[in-house]
Amino acid sequence: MMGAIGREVSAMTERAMKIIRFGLTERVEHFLLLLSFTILAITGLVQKFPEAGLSLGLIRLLGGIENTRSIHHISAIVLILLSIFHIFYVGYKIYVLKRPLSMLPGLKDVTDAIGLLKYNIGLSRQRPLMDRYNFGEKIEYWAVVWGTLVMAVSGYMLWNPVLTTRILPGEFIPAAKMAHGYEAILAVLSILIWHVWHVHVKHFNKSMFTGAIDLEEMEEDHALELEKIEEGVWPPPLPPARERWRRAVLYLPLAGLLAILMLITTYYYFTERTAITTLPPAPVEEAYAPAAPPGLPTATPAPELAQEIPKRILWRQIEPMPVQSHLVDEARADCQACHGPYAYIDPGPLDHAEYANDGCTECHAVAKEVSQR
Amino acid sequence: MNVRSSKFEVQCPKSKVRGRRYGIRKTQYALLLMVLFLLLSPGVALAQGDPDPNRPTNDSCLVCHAEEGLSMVLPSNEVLPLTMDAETLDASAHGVHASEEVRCVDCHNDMAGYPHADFPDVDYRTWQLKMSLVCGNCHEDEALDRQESVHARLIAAGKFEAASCADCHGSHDVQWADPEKHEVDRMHMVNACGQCHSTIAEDYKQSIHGQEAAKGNADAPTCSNCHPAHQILDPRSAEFRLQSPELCGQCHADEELMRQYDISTDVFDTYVADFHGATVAIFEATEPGEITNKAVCSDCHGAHLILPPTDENSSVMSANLVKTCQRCHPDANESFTASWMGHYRPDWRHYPIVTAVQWFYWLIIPFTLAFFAVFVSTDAFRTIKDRRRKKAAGDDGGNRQGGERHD
Repeated sequence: MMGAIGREVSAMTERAMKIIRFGLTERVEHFLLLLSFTILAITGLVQKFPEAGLSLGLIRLLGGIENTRSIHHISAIVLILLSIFHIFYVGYKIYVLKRPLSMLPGLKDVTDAIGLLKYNIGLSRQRPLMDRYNFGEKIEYWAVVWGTLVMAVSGYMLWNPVLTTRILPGEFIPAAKMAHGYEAILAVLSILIWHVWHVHVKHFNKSMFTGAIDLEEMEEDHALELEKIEEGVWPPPLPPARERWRRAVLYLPLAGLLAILMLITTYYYFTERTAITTLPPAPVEEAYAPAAPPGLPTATPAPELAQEIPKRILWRQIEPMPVQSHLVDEARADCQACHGPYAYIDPGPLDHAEYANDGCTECHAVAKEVSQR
Repeated sequence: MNVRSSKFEVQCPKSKVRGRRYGIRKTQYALLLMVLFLLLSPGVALAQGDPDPNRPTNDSCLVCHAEEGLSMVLPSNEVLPLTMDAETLDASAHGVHASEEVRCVDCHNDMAGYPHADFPDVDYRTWQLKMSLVCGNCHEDEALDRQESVHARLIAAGKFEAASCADCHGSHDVQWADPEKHEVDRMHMVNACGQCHSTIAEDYKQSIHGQEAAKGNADAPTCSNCHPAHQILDPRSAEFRLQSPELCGQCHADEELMRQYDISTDVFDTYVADFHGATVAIFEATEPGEITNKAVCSDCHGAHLILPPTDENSSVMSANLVKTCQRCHPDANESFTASWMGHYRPDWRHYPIVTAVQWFYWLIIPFTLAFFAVFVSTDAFRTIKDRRRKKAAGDDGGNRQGGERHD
């Protein structure tokens, strides 16, 4: 029976060999998902592994860690808005348009998986005939649902730990951090292995961008769906316009209300202050608090101001007349050199400035041997 | 006569401050210093090299300067005492201990000869700061290091009260800075710094580090272990803030050292693994000049008044933790404090939820990857095989459906 289709399509033109698989909405959703996921993964992994040289390079490229986090947060908001939209969009398709639940996993997926494995290793000669979404795609879709849920919930908790711990015990924060990091690794590895293999390496499946899929790929991955299309039973007909209208009137306001509620919660959660934006308050007081005024060289008394004494006049107070002094020998013959009013050692009063050396001993006694000259 | 206290330089073994950060600038500062010497004090520059053995001895200075009450009035009206006694000089590091004789004129090299030159400055402090350049004649490395310090920068900015050599070391009674090497009381340095930083010194003395240091415990850090003696960084600077966890880690990540005190060395790793520490580490690597508001060790534990978490006054003691968290997270409550795992690694007894999450992923990740690996590898194997067959069949103009051929 597959052979018949093959022969039939081989007669058609290349263009006709494609089947429309995804509408514009799904393609835009996928594009936003791939965009936000990639940015989240990159800006998140560099934070999880900051010790790696590549991470630091990327952080520099993104303008520092604070910028990197802002980008991560903005992408997270995009993903959360997309998720909210997706929930209500799927609800609309199921409730209003009465589309079948083709993404729901069933027993057939298990048998398909076993069947394909058997076929792959040569235990079976028949590739299982798979429906609209095969088990591989269902694994991926539900992995994204699970991953987004875990990442969003743990991400909310990490983004606003203060608000979270009002409701939950504090231990949930490090638990959320643990989950956020490991789930990220799981998600990225899943995409790199499962997704890249199935839609980039095995075939380059462009249907998420162009909307159309090759017939050959349909036969391989969605043989059952193709059969139903050929038979004209897929996709099932829409309900009558009247019923759709009746259901839409009920669904849309309710969904809109719920969506607005979710948006408000998200907004509140992400804008609530968690920490101060400035430096933490200094743990110490003013650093300069001298115990005593900075002093003169050690082993010497502290300075004091000598207001009364004219500048550049030596300070030592001399009682009316010194009666005892040193020898006056050749080396010390010039009295004024040491004792002149402007000299450094034992200065005399200002009015002595003009006195000659000879006259000094008239008033000032000197050491005995010399005075007996 | 290059007097070096080499042990002092390695007090912060992991500090990269010396070589890496300031290596290039050293030559610039050497030049600057030389220019300063030439401009300010021609005599100082000449004093470099081997000292003249015929220069005046200390005794010849002390002929006059030993006299009691000798002093002079400076242009600023300050009175500068000029009396010096031989015992003080002899008891100093420059006295009996010095490997070579240090004479008065080696430092006061513009005062050789009599009558002396006029006092060269307006006030005492200006002159003292200029005199501190003389120290670099022999203690070159220390003087060069000091040029980068916060004190030198403050002096350059006109804050003359900032410390220069003699303020910490003393002048005529100068002592070794390395208390361990010379069996000086370890608190000697704390008191020296406390001359200007009295409140900090008091905090330090009350801290566990200060208490231990006062007992003579050589493991306990004093001022210079965290603020390297000559290249003191401005502790308010971004660099210092970002480096500070590594500073604490020098001792607190040292297993051998910490074992003696029964302190976990996980503190550093768990800090870096967590949000605050990871951010600080990233900042240090990517934006070393930027201040980050993420907590470093001292924000929770205090900088100088560090107490063990068992002390009832400790900022990280469980009863005080909310207050400490609230300094940065003003709306935090009691439950929020439990979100910090207190430097512990998750285990079933203390953190069952975290550990459960961890084990969930430790199981689910390998399981998922194994499942993917089995599927993708067999699928790849089959796909390649089918395509080869299809290609061969295609060449014969046969069936396009690789898998269907055997129907």
